[in-house]
Amino acid sequence: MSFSVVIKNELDLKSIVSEDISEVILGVKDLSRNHKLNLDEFYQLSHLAKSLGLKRVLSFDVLVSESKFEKLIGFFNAIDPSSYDFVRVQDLGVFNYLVNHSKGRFQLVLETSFHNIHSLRALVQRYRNFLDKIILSYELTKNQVIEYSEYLKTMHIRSELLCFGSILLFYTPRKLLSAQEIKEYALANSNESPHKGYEVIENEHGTFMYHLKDLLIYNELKEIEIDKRIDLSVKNNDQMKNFFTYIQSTNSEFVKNLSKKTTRGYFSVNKTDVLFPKLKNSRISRVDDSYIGRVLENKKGKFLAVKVEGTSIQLGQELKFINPEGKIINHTIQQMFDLSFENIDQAVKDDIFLLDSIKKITPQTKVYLN
Amino acid sequence: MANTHPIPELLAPAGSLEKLKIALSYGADAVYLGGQKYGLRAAADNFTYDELKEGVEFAHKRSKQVYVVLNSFFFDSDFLELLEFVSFLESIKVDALIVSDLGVVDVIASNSHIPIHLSTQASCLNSQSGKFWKDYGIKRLILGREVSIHEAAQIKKATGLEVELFIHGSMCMSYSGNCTISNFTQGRDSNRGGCSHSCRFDYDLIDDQNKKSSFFMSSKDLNGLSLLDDFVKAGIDSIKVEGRMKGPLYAASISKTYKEALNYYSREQRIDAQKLSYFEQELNKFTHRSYFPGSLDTPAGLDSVFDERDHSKNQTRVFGTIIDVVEDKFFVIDSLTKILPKSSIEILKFDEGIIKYTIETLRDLNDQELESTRPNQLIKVPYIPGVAKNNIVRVLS
Ligand code: SF4
Repeated sequence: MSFSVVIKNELDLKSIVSEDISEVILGVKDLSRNHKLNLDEFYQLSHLAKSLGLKRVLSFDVLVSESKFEKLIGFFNAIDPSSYDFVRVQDLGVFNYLVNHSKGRFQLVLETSFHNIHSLRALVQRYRNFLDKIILSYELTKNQVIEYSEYLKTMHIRSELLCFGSILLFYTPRKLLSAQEIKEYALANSNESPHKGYEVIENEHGTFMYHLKDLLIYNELKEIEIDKRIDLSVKNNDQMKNFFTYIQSTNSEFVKNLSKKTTRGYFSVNKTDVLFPKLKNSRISRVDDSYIGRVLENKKGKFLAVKVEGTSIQLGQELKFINPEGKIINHTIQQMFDLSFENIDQAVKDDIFLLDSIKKITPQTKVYLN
Repeated sequence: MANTHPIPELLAPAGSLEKLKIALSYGADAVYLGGQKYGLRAAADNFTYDELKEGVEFAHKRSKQVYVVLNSFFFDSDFLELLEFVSFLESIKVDALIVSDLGVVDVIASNSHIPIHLSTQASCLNSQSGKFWKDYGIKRLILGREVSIHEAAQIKKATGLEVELFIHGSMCMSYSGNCTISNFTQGRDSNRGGCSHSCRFDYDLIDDQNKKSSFFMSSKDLNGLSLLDDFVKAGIDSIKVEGRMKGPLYAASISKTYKEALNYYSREQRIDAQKLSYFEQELNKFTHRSYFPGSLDTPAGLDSVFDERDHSKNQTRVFGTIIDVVEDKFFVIDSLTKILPKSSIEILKFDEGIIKYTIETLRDLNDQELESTRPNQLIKVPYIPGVAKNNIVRVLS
């Protein structure tokens, strides 16, 4: 078992009691989304971690604008390299810079995308020698995690997945709490959905919103050879010690007593695209085969107007109408008219032709050649 | 006066074939659109193969461009039909593909010659990130909405790539590609087109002392018209308008207004206050949230939140589209709304200008007089010189 643990202060460090910790993730507030330490405090913590025999990862996970890039890189370069063993970055620009300007191999956070093996392969092909570890997305399913971590292993790149901790839902550089005259922290309850209790944190890098539940997939990850990250939210750090007790005893009381509920996220299955077909009425969607056009108006007892958007049409042909409710009406054209009600024998693309009105056909009904 | 700076391309959204034709007819130089898959707008009409072909032909006949979005974050199964789709797109000669996933970039770059534009979904914010993507074959960077015009110019210079910036429309409050609210709360992947717009919800914010109800995550709408001079001088290659889900009036008004503004700028090398005010008024004529200039000039500040439920009250509504013109006799409007006799309408011409007209008597296609119109009704209007098929007609509210 191999854990990497996000450590924000001395208390955190003292509460981790496991031989399975491969590294601790530390940070300074200038470079990290939610570490709060200044450089001196970081050095102290780093020193302490080293004295406990732990490998130290410096987290540089903010997204960096062009204007701030030089300043932040300058800040990073000024950090004593002996205070960390690895650097962890998320911004691909920062990664690219480090690859070209520093020595060593880096840890790259790919938690918000890279949900397929092609993207990982493309990355590894070019950057294999610069990658120590890839932090995979917690939107991946178990099968993907196994496949990708095995692939990375063959490339001598370690992989990591969030095992227990906060799920970041949203990251903006804007100061959304300050705009409401609220300082640093609030709970957000949506009035338009049943979800309550999103933690919102604001700091100098912007505003972050976290899921009301923590991800907990320790049991699911146990057998998988991958580093397991423990990354508890500000309010939940007291659970760190209990977590390590829990994994030794697997006493389920731990889960019951957590201040935040837990979820397994998409580890078993990710079906976040299955609802898409329901977002639109497929009956009014056009299908190319034999498509003629759409009904503009059906005036009872008077006329039915069709706009030709596909194939041309002529007298004697049979039309198939599919109305928005899905009902199919067939009709053979005996007579057709133009907009001046003059008889015509054909209509081509972009024309509008009129027929006698037909029951059950409404605007947006699609018209096909039968 | 001779133009000293190239004028940026005006890139408009095309949520459907109809809107593609509208946007290009009203002056957009290029449109972006989605096919049936991969395009981040699961609820949109999206283009079938035949519509894509027709759309590209329509654009190319007018020397305009079509960019197809494949910018969802792909999962492995999404790749199954990718190559077939890309080879179809290449066969109909689309002008570029908009992509955010590195795997997709790699597959397309190795299997086709279609130029690839990096989607804003990839949140490219700096030159180094631009260089990373350039190495994979990206030709143009559609920069994050947090990038200023000045920064975009620096990125262009450092990377040697074309740069594209959003100039108008609704905004994600989050760094693009960094919001998974819908994924985890509604089971709909926002990075594959299922965003449920949770950032527009009303929230109770609770801190130690207070409870405050607000739309704290909702952004005002971007409007960079007043910064056109900066866009041009910075050498921004393409200015982009958001809004594939918006209606025909939006597609027409936005393309017409920005194109007229760009043409005016090209002639005069500036836009004076009076003209700017006219263009701003035009951009106020359709529904929108309060406008702000985003981070185009300085980073979006505390006043960038749209802390309200309702959009602006629009000064105009779309009445409909002119679906046919019988020269010297009449034209027919496909009505989308209810209007009464004696309503003042405005017909947006494709070239500069607007035809103002009062419809004294409303008549249907059978020449029967109507007390009012209703949606999906064909309205016959006596011929007015200058009207053209597919002109959008708006009615003053
Ligand atoms: S919820 Fe809002 S911020 Fe998030 S993806 Fe959707 S529009 Fe963007």
